[in-house]
Amino acid sequence: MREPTAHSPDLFEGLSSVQRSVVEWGQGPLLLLGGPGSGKTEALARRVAHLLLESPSEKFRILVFTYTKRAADAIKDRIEIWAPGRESRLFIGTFHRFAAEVLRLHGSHVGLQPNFRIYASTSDLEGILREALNEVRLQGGEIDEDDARLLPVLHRLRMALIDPSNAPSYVLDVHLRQRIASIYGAYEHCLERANALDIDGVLYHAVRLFQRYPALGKRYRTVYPYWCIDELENANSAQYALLRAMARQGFNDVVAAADPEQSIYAWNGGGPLTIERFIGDFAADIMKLPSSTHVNIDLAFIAKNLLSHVRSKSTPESPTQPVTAGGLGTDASVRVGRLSSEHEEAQVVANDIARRYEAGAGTFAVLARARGLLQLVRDNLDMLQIPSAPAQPRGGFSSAPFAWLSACLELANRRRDLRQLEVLCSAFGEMTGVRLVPDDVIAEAESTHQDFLRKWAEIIVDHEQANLAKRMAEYVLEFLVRKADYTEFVYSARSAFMQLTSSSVWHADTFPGYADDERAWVSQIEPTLGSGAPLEAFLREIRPRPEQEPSGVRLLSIHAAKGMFFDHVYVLGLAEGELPSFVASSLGERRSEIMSEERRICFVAITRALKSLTLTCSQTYGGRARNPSRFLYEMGLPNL
Amino acid sequence: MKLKQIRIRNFRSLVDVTLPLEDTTVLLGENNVGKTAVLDAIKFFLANESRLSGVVHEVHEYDVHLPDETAAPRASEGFTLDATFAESSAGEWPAAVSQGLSGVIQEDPITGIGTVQLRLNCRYTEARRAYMTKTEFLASSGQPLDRNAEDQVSALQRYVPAFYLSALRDAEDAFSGRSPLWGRILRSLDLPEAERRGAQEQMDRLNEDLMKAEPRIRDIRTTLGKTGDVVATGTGERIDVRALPLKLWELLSRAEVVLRGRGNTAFFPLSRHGQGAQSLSVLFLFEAFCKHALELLYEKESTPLLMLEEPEAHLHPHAARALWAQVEQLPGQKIITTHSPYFAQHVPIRSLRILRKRGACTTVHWLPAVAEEPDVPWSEKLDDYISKSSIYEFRRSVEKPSTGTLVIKRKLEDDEYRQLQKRLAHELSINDGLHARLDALERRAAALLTDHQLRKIEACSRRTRGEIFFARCWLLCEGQSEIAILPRFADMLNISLDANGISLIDYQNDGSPGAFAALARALGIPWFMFCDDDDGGKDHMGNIEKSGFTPGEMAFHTRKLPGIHLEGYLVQFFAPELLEIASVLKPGFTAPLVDVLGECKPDYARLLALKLANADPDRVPAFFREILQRCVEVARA
Repeated sequence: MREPTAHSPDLFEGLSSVQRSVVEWGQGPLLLLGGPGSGKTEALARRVAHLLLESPSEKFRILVFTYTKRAADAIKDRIEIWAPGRESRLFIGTFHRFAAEVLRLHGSHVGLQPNFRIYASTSDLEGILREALNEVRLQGGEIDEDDARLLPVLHRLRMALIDPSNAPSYVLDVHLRQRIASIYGAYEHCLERANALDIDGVLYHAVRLFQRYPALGKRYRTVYPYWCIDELENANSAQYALLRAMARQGFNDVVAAADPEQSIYAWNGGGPLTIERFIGDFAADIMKLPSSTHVNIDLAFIAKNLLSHVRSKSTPESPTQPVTAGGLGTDASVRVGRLSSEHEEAQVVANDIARRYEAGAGTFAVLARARGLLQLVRDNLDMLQIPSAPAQPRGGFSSAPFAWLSACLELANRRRDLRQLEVLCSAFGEMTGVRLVPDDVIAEAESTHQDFLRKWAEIIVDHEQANLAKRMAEYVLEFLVRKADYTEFVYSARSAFMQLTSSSVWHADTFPGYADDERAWVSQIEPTLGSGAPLEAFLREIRPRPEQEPSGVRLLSIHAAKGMFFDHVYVLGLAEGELPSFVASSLGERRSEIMSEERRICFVAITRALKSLTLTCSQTYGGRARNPSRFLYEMGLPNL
Repeated sequence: MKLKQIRIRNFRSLVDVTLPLEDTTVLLGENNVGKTAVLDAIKFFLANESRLSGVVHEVHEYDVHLPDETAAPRASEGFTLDATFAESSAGEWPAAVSQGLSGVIQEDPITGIGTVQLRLNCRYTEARRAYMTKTEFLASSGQPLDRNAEDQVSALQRYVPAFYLSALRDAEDAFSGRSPLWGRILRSLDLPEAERRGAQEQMDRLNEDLMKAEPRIRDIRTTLGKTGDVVATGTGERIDVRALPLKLWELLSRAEVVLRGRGNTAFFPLSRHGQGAQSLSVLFLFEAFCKHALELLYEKESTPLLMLEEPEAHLHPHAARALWAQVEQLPGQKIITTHSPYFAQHVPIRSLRILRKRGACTTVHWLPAVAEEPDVPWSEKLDDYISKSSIYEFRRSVEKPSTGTLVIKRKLEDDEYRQLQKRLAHELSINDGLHARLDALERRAAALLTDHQLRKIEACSRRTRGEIFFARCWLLCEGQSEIAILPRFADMLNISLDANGISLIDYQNDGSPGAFAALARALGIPWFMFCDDDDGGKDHMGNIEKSGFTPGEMAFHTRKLPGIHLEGYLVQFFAPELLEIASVLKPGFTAPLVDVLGECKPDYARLLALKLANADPDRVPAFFREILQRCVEVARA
């Protein structure tokens, strides 16, 4: 039975004619080109909504690749407006997340267990590399003392989808060439033994899986007959390879949106080249969206000027309104400030934000190349008591009880995780006053059953009288060691927490952050998972999510800001040696591709602004004199 | 999508039972061997969403299999059901199934065949003081998939809705407005608006006419109407009397089935008919449900899974026999339990699953369609040979591609087996255990029955009314004379063939001894065979040997009659009786007695059996005494 057509006539409202044809696009390949704010993403989102609304009784799913999780959330929200309640028919996420999901489901064909872990931190991966080198040594292989620093080489091999046997021909160093195959092989072997994947291995294995077993791609094409890609210009060659490996046998129902001018990921293998390959491989039709409609006219002007340099043309035009130089006293849409030092720069920017923030002027972002500059602004904002969100929000649980709880679960999942044992011991000490030294636990565990969590709990139970510490340790033994029933463990531990807070043994401020953790647990973690979820899935939910949207003034690197818009944007550090970078600045136009990428980064930064843009530049950075950025001139702004 | 295999562990008497399933599968066995337990296990997990996770209340402590008296059900691992859904060939499942279950479908990366493996476990959880169910989907490697199973389980249940109809069903319940079949058909009816309004008006008019037709009703109505004067009703409406329901859907929900019996002129409600008619009607109700309501309530790609318990209940033999054809054409996949030989006699042997009890545990037996051996080394030389022949199939292992499973689809001829050994010569020379494994595989393949052989055996099962499948021992003999005399000898020894479940099968009439022996082995039925000590007998022995039996097995299972043939042996013991019988059957005969008897088969044996009524047990010839006693021993084991 067909649902009554809940076809909202609004689906086409406010769209240009090009956008409309994108929304109505049926099958076949399409490449949608457009500048910042031209409405590419909006057109893609509504096109997905249109497909969903047109097929109410169908089960097929739509695949939408985005470059960040945040972009995925944004597109999800937009689709939700037009076609609410259909999330189960969508996969919206990064190539990486999709590949990881494929491997959880089908990784057994390339030797992976469904509950593999992904190692992203350098320390984890260095550990694996050390183990691998040891293995090579034990087998009589040759090792150089510098080999402990091979991670970047392995990273590049992974990104280029090179397997161990082919690795030697990709290594320039003659001596390394002889060792790389065995080291890389042992590295893979050690990962496999740890039931883990290096973060670069996710795409690598997914691509191999689809390449080796075409039947799998066929099933995926049945499940996902329509694919969309936002920000195609960011896709690197490994991500593009995944796309090609899945789209065999002439499959070409792919719609991609791209802006070659916003390509700032050339260093990562992305770039205009991917767009060219896409057009060729998929024989894609091309549509172009006219430039931005919602950006302030002066902002549009300077962006256009800079763009003319991106396209290697010249002669900037002047903005209609005079641009203020020197102080930031006025409220013009484009302002340029020249300060004496980065400290003054940060202070002036913070003061200016404070003045407008308190007047409720809208959303604010501070962008800069260097993290140090952002931190300076943050310190100043803190003094002015303006809320701000750092570039990298702190993750995990801050209160001792919840930190202990999550460490217990992590250790139950990986019984010999040293880092989690350290968290466990310190959080438990803070919570109960009973302090165990991790090394003691390890030593005792090594001599018996090698299980850190079990040994830790056994020691507490043996040495403590009936008290909170003993009770908690007994829960660990009962539910995590003997029964592997983490649900009961969480339930018992949390009941104990609640009892302690309600009986006022713990005061509201006994553990900083406890109330927030409690709220996060109840509102975000528990409802997302059913009672039968495996421990590994549960852990993924409680692990920190760095991409949650914070509030207050945003302090962002330019790369992190891509795809976001703010009413008022401050770009700091517009000086030679900062933006453009020192390398680009000193090579100058001799290496035009490097300078072009820098220029595109600047373009991304200035096009984040909806109402006003403030550009600042200090005479010195780190005590060194710097000239104003050439991009200021290229934008047509007065020479400072 | 269809359920291709189930494995049940620790559920009542099912300690560890694996059952491959066909489109229609018939579970057969004596009472109390675990047929119902199989259905209950599937029903428990698949026919009810609420049991897929969390606390379940209907589990009884006795549902968990206990190894001994002292074992505590609460401390056990609980019981587990593994259900495997699989495509028969790549692309069998409609796109909607692939899409709806994309999170759990596993794929053979080489053949592209999709499977879904579901594992359900129910065990006692101390913290909740109750039995709890846990549901997991498995990867093709057998490890649990790392995801939350619940949404995919309910999707799976929409594509494979499970229904259960029991022997003890009651048509009155089945056809009530609340019934899962009838009630849902009625609720799914969707009258066009105009018709609905018209019918409602007619109903109201009819009600009005009825009320007016009888003066007393009119009076009652007026009297009751006074209530409205005293108690103010919300809308100001007066109280009314209705003969017909107020709303149309209520009328519809009372719709019932009426049936006119043979020779009867009046219709009666179904519940007034005999139980046999009721049972049958419920079966057809299921068919109607699938046709009219399934797609509305589930998906258009849904394949119903029907569990049918003893459909033959309350039916007379002919109806029970006719039932198979009806059941077979029901939509979807069917799992049926029965202990009616009448029903079983028409079931194809490949669809039978025979359940038997070994001690406290249930075992299941069936006729394999192919012989398989895993972990056989792969080589191009081997591939070159088997890929050209339709007898073989080689499934390369994904995890260990240098090996695979060798599948043989029929008995190999001698030169075919030699070829196979030659292609594996190198591997045989370096792999110690391979030789023995290959020989065993060849013997298993030799026991595979051709469709032609099966048809002959099926003819026998039809003639013996299917009882051979319920037997605890088969005694294979050449012909009708043996069948005529053996029950008498058993009688003289005070052995009841029926009580011991011993079936006599005259193999020459219905097939070949080898086919029966192979079937007996596949179905786990102990068997013995005896034959004449002549050229014919030698052929029969050879026929069994070729079905993959070793000399040791031959010595255990088979015997040759001392004295060339039955007549020759019997005259050694019953000369006076046989002489008398011969003169009745062939008055004035001149030929030797043995030859005359040979011409009078099997009548002489029947007459001898009559003559030996109440004869002394000592008179049973030693050969038959031994073979009958051995039958009894194995049947009772």
